Amino acid sequence: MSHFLNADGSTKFPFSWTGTPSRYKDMGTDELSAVDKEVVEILMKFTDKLPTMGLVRVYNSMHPIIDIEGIYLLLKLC
Amino acid sequence: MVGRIPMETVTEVREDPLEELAESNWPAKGGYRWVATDVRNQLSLFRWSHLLNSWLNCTPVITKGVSGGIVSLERVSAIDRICHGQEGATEKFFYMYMCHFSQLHVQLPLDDFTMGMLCALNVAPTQLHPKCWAYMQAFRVLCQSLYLQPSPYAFLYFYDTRPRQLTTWLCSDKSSQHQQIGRVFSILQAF
Repeated sequence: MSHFLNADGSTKFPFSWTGTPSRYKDMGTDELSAVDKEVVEILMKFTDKLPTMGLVRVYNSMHPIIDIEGIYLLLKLC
Repeated sequence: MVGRIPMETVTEVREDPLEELAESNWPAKGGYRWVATDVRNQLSLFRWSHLLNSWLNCTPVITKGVSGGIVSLERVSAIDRICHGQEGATEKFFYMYMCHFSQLHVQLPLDDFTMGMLCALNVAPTQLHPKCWAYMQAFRVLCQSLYLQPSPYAFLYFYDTRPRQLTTWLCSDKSSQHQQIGRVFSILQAF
């Protein structure tokens, strides 16, 4: 079984850059499947109770610097 | 200074730079005007095998217990760019950023949530900004800690994407409706 290819030989995700990335904006719950809706509802319940201001301060002091320049890797399927 | 470099290091680096010199005379690949210039100008650091090998020695790329033979990591030629497609390639390939493995704890093979995200957004792994990869990792951890199955559309309920006319790294921003959960993901991605 290939980890990256479907049974018909197509790739499981785009391997190369595409000129048509998808736009998502203000998705409504009516656009979600029943399973996804449940995930969203539980996450909302959970996050509303988190003391975010304190966490934001921790985050600001620990924010990782991610550098993407000149560091890409080439992976070929075996 | 040269005298201080150990002999084996000199032997090791000798081969690739010659190839590199020859490659830089190859004509640049055309047909990528639809990609922003700063993307096309990115050069990989891994044009030399010895650099790639020493980096691989200290960074886990493949999940433990999975055969290391699912992909081979290879040096990038002087004219190859992250936005280039599969034209003329004998084997299928994709690019990843070093920070995926060294900072964001991504390991291969990619899980269904990550591959589903790339499909839903219709982007290659390097086309999605590492910041968005960090959000995705945070979302995955949050879902898993609550025994929920992370799904691409549940993620996209909280995040918006705004593709640009000239293709560049795709970023995701907190949806204006959900600032609160967006903050939580931002915090989680820092850990």
